[in-house]
Formats: sequence, C-alpha cells, structure tokens
Amino acid sequence: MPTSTDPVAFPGRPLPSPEDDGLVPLSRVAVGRRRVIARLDGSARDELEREGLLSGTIVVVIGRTPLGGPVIVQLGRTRLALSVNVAAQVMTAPDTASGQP
Amino acid sequence: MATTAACHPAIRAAPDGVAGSRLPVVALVGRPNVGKSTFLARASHRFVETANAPGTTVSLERRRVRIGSRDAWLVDLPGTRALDDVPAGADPFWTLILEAAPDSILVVADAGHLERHLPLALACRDLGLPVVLAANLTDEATRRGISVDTGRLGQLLNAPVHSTCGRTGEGVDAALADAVRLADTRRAVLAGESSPRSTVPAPVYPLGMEQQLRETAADLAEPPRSLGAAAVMEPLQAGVLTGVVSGRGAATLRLARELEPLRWAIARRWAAGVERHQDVPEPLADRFGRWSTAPWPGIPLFLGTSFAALLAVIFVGGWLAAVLGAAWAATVSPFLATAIPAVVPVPILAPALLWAFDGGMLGMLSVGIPYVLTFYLLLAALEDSGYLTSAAVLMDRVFGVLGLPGRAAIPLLAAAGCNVPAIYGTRVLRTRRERLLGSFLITLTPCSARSAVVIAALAPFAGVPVALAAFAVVGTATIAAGLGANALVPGRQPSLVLELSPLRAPMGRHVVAKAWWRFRGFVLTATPIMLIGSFVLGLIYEAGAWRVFADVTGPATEALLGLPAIAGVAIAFAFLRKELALQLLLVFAAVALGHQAGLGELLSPAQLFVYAVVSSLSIPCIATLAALRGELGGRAALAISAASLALALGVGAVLARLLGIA
Repeated sequence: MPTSTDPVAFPGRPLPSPEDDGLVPLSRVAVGRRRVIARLDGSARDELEREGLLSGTIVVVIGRTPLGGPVIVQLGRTRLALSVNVAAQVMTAPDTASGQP
Repeated sequence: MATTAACHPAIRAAPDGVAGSRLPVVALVGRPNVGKSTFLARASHRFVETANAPGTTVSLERRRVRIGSRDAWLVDLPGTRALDDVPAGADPFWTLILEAAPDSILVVADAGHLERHLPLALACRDLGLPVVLAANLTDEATRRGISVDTGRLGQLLNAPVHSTCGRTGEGVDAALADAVRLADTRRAVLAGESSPRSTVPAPVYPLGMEQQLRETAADLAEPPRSLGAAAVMEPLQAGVLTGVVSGRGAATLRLARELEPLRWAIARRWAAGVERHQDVPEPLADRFGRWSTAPWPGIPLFLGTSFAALLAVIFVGGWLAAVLGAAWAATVSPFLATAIPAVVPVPILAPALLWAFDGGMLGMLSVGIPYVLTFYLLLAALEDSGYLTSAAVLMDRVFGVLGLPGRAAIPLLAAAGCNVPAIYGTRVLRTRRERLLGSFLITLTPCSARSAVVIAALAPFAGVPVALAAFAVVGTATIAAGLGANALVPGRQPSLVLELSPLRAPMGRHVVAKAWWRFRGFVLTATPIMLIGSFVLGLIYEAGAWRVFADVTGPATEALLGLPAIAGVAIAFAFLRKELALQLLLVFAAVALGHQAGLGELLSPAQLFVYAVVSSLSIPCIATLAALRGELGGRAALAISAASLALALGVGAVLARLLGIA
C-alpha cells in the first residue's frame, strides 16, 4: 500500500502531513469546499478505494441531502454519494494548491 | 453479423458450457453503468435488460456472435469496480473470470471518465490474457468536450483501443473483431499451432512490487505434490495450472489490495496524457442531475414523479384491464364454459378446471397483465433516464432508519408492480441483512393485485378518501414493521457509496425491450402459479372444503377482527391468488347466505376497511413465497411469512377495536 509520500503513486501533489491536527472528516466539510483525502479510517476503506477515493485524491463537496442524508462529492468528473457514516471515515486536509482552507 | 442467443443464469449451469468450448470466448468486463449490456446488445443485435443504474447485470449472459465468418462466445459479466470486488453474490469477481475461462477480455470503459475506468483495464491486462479496450459512451464524452487519443492509449496499455458508442453501435463491431482475433491467436498458441507471442505487458509497477509479483507467481505455479494437496488447491492456483490465467496474473489477484492504489495513480497519469478537452457549456442533463439530488428542487421533483407514476399506473392500467377483461369475457369465457364440461364431464373436476382456465386467465388479463405491464414500462423509462439513482440518494436517510441503503428504493418501487421481480431485485443490496429487511418490506408493499383489492373494496362503498386512508394504514404499518425488523435483526447498519448516474434521455428501444423482458418473466412465472392456484381454489370451493376451514377459524376471525367467518376464509385462500380476495369473499358469501350478496350487504364500511388492510398485509402470495425461498432460503421465507401474518392480524385487531366492530 503506498503512503501519501509515495512519489510513484502521487507524483507532484502537495502532501498533507500525517501529523496535521487539522484533518477534517468529509462529513463535516462545508458544501463548495475542495479538500485532499489524507487517509481513510474504518471499515469502508475497500469500498471507498474501489470508487477512487484514495489518499491524495482531491474531492469537492457539492451537496448534502436533507435530514442528514448522504454527502455528494465531485471526484474528477464523477459524482459520488456517501452516507454520513461513510463520509466520516474519510479524513481530509486543505487543498493547499487551490488556496482554500 | 448474424447471431444466435442463449441466456443462462450462470455459466456453471450452461448445458454445453462456455468453458472448454471450441469457439473463442470473449469476456465483457467493465465498471457498473458503463453501457456493457447495451454494448452486448449492439454486438449481438439483440437487446437485453439494461438500466442506467449500477448493478443491472447481476447474472451472467452469454451470446454466440459471428464476426465475418468466425463464430465466438461473448460473455457479459456483472459490472465490477475491481477484480476482487463482489458485484452480485458472495464470490469475488475474479472467480467469474476463472469460471468463464475467456480467451480474451473486452474491457468497456467510459471515454469521458478514463481515470476512473483504466484501473480495471490495467487489472485485466495484468491477468496475462489479451485485452481490447472499448472507450465507450463517446457521445456523452463529446457533449462534455472530451475526446480520447486512442492511438496513444493503445501504446500505453499495449492493447488495441477503440472509440465506441453502444447507443449508436459506432465502433462496436471493430472492437469485438479485435477481441475475437486476439482470442483466436491465443488459442492457436496454446494449441501449438502458432509461435508464442508474449502477452505479458511491460512492467508498470515499482521494482519492489514487480519483485513481489514474481515471487508470488512462482509460489502459485508450484504444482501440488500429492492428490490430497490437489484436492484442497485454491482456485487461483487451479486457474494457473489449467492455463486460464498466467502465474503473474494470479499473483496480481493475490496482491490486488496493494496494487489497486498504484493502478489508480497510473490511470490518472495515463488519462491526463490521452484526453483532449474543449470548452463547452455544461450539458443540461448534468445540471438537471445536480438539481435532482438537491433538497430544492429535488424533493418536489421526486414527489411529483412518484405521484405521476402512481396515477399513470392507476389510469392506464385500469383502462387496459377493462379492455382485456371485457374482450376475454366476451369471446373466450363462453367457449370455455361450454367446452370444458363437455371434454371433462366430471362433477367437481370440470368446474375446478373452469376456475383455472377461465377465472385464472381472466385474473391475469384484468389485474396482473395491465398493471404490471404499465408499471414496468414506467420503471424502465425511469431507470434508463438514470433518475432512480438520484431518487435512491434522496431517500437514503429515510431508508437508513429502516436498516436499508437508498438503493433499496429501486426494488421497493418495483414491488408496487409485482413482489416477485422485486424480490429478485434485492440482489442489488450488498448484505444478507439488507436483503432480508428489503424482502420483508417488499412483501408488505401492496402489489398491483393487492392495490386493486383495496381500491375495489373501499372506493365504491366508502369513497376514495377511505381507500387512501387504507393505503396510509398499510404504509404506516409497513414502516413500523421495518423499524421493528431493523432493531431485531442483528447486523451492521447500511452505508451508501453510490456513483450517481448521469441523466440521459430514455432510449425507446431500451425501455420497450427491458419492460418486455421483465413482463415476459412475470407472465412465465405467474401464469402457471395462477392457473394451479385457481384450480386448487376451485377444488376447495367445489368440494366444499372451505366450510370446514370456516368452522374452525370462524370464531377467531369474528373475535379478533370483527369479520364474518367467510372473510377469514377468503383472506386465507387469497394466498393462492391475491387479486381474488374480493371475488372469493363474494363467492363464499353467496354460498353461505344462499343468494348473491353485494359487498355492501355483506360487510359494513368499517369491516370492509379492516378486510382490505388485513388482506393487503397478510401472508405473501404463493409466487412471492417461491421467490423468497429461492433467494433467501426456506427458513427466511417462513419467518417473513409468519411476521407478515402476525402484523396483519395485529393491525386488523387494533383497527377492529378502534372502529368498534370487535
């Protein structure tokens, strides 16, 4: 499994520091924010990786469904819906390249 | 290109077996919702059941196709996100590949989302089998201003790459011809008729990983040392020793978890190198797709769509039912009424046969066929548009309370037409717990036959609002039962990870073909059960056996539900034919009272209300029970039946007391 410092897997991408305390689960990221996936926690890891949600990947939160329903993220040109309990397992860091917090 | 087709639920069940066939075998592999089934339809000139929703292909389908003068088998495998994914059932996807034993793989990828689809192509290439890549859905990619340098991608992948569009057929034959040509070449090499040409691609992984792959491949290529060891040989090793996959290919399967992130990184790099972008306005379908999952206007849109679909089923289905029922009653019924007693002049048997062939078929034509056909056409149009995945996401939180993911919306919606295909549709759910809970809720969902009973029992005698109130009671009881089942059945709560399908204009041929395939399945399944059920019902009625049942259950029916004894009999025997719950009641009443009695004379409005609700919720019909047993096993089928019966009696007892009839 490559780490987020693996230059083969993630060439040229600004790397979030594993020690960064500012990691925020995707479930708590505001709509419109662009984030970098820092790591995947929990049991949905395989499921998320098969959808392309890997460390170093940039995602944009584009919507939330009502009543605490799924979070909708843009991954490249794909829209993915993640239930809140799954989104909580995706730890994200700011995308420093975009200048967004 | 001429074709002959053969469909099988699984390759294992194929009578002549694709594996070991003398014809080359090409496997179609791709992520869900990439248009594989449409691709197969174009390649074989026959449409199959497809949907613009993940997980449409939940079983294997093979077709014999002719490319020029060469015949080949084309095997459609379920959509998968990785070779170790579990797309439908308990086995990982790669076991299906070993089972199909293809000579080449045709990977269908989305030309507009290459970064997302190339990891699977890389994984297939790693198996050591010849690969052809079809960069499909080029029409949608073009609308988004994306084109693919197929020549460059072919160099990177070391495999032929074709631009294809399944909806128009563009490029499909050429891609298939390449796949068959490569399959033939591999066969010739294996048969020693041609000099070998290495299909092992150039190493693309870091050196350490390549070394690990070599070592694992060497382990897997080691033949078993004894018969005992051979008997417990793992499938991967068997795949290597039988030549289905190369040793390195098997090693890549064993190390899939480590390789997958590397593949995604390579795919990202390759996609960036071969995609060409033009600035184009965002397609309207994409904007509509975003709106469909937003609270506004997503929720009003969902409610409006559901209501419009319900109205269409009621009015179009009702019109069809009237036309077909009248035609049968005017033309066939009189003939059968004369012919059957003449051919079988046996007192009890002749009328029982009339129950089956006249009553049974009339039931199919006036309830089953019109409502189910209308419903399937609507469902097919909604699926083909891609809207159902948006609806599934919108409803995910609601279904989550019931222990189900949002994708359960698709089979539950289908249940409103007929419970049987809906039970099969629960295969899109990932765990047995979800399938159990989903199947339970499906059996409580009023199908077209049960809805017809509720409407016919209540609308004429108590008014449409009362009929709607009965549906509200059934809906509330179903939700309460779902909450209870979610609390009682052990297991983890569901989680949703769902790719949202792009919205597309439904394709007329797809919609008709899909509705037809489902409708044909319904007719083939339901007709024999309807005929046999009607015959048994006829025997019970003509022999007077129902009176015994009425004597035994009558006191309990009256005390518990406040209904006359014959109402309990009608509810119980409607197990054989749900849509006859009302007619049975009238027939039994006529015998019991000694004259033809109207529903209004037989039951008060309050009793009709209880009768409609209890008959809607009680035990699933015999066809649904058979589907439950097949999908979940006998114990689960019995447990679900017992739970629905208990719920029906419990709700009926409460209603009877609230309405003052018991």
